[in-house]
Amino acid sequence: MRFLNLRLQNFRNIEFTELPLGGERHFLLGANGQGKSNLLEALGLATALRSFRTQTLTALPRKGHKEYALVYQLEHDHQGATHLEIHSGRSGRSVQVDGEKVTRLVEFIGRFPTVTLCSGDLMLLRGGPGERRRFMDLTLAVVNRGYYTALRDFHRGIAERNRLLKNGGSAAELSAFEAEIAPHASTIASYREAGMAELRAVLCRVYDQIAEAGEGPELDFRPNVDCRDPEVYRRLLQDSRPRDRMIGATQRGPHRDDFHLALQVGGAREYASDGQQRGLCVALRIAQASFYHQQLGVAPVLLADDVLGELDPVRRQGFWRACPAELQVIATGTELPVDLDEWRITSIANGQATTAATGPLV
Amino acid sequence: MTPAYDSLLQQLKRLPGLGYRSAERVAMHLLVEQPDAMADLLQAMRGARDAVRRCQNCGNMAESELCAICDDANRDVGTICVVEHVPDLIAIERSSAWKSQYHVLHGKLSPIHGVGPEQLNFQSLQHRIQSGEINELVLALSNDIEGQATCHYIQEELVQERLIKVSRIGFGLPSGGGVTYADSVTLRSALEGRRIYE
Repeated sequence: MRFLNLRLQNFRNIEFTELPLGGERHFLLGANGQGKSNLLEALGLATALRSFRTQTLTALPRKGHKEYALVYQLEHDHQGATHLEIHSGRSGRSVQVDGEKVTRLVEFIGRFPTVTLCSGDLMLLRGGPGERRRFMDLTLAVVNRGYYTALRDFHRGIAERNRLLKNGGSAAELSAFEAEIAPHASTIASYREAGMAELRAVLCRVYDQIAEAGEGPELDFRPNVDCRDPEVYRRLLQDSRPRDRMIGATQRGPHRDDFHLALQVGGAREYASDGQQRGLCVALRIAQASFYHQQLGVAPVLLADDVLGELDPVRRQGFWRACPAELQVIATGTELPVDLDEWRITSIANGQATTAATGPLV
Repeated sequence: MTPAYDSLLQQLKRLPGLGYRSAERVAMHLLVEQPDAMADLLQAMRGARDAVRRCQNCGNMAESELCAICDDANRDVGTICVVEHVPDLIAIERSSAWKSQYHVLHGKLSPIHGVGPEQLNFQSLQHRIQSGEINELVLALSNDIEGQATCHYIQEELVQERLIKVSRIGFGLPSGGGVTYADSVTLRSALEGRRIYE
């Protein structure tokens, strides 16, 4: 997939601008606070209507406005030339693909895959399990709608059960919801086990290309409980009722799963150097992109928000080695990239994009 | 505009399905465009309020102890279709696909929304089951986690070990609809609920 053009209205600090794309390598150049990341954020919304910077989507319209519009032209591997529009206003968000309204999020997620690399990715190593679960859930939901619906129904069921636990619901009511939660937990567990194993294999390959050989990255999926068998998990929920009632929440289940990243030296969070951690995060994102490509048959677009400059020259070279050549890359930075000839440069100032004459269209 | 108009608008806005603009249209229609229709409407609303009640047997709307369906001797009393709301019953009746009786729960289990077994019309369903007249329950409840949990509750708590056949309606492609344009959730339901072709 490749973005050809993006028009934005009242999005973040942008009143209106047009960003011509279409080449393989685009570099958005500008000082801090000019709107580079806002443009990447808008491009990233095409994957799952999610921002890589915030979970508060009310922050997206321009200050003083309640509505924004994003209009994308793109070349899709399966659908060819495609026109995508995302509008957000008082009555919520609406999405149209080639003039046809998308009525369910499940029908939209993953149709236009992108992967964003940003400095916040370090939270995948340094943050709590919730950060890693969000990564895992998005990665698997993009490639499998069954995973998305199972996750949605599981969380809904857990919310209902938690309310029963808090309000002293009867055993019969708890049984009714536990019986429905368990199959969804089992589906999630199966998808996570298989998906994370595949991602692990891709990550090892990618990391070896980015960093020194032999650093040996490891991705270890750590389920909170083994709930592949729905009956086993249903019984566990039943047995956990007294403790869960005391706490007022469901303590065990896929909503507590995690994964662990390590290098040869030990846990990446504890033992890896700053550079190694950054390299590992970049590798994880490229692995995510390769995973999307492999599973969907659609080449995702890589959006690199001011991260390539943070890598040392060896790892930056490694990034290009690991990055599949067929992926469109759109990067941002405050200084011109070292390998200038590779990029088509667009200057960003005060939320306006101006494509420079220099830099060949690759 | 005027205090009386504003008060009417506020009341109309509280009705389900009416936003500000729709409420304004209805208010304008009643007060300005067709003021003569107001008397008939008020009379109909008062009449309905006084006459309509819940059927003691199934929970449907009725104007006497039993609704027209429960009162119909031609309806099979042994087979019951359980629905969440009266509009679900009306939709099934409109399809002419069901010739037996119904039971309206007036909701589904949802602790988040404060709906437990006490809020649902389970008591009269239990009476009907205990009477021994029922031999089949068809559960036509929503295909979501709350609908499924309600089905589970009926099976485990109300039917228990009794020799009653309990079935769930199928979920799949709309009639006349092709596979190409069906959404993925519907397709999944249709594939999971596939049956032997005979």
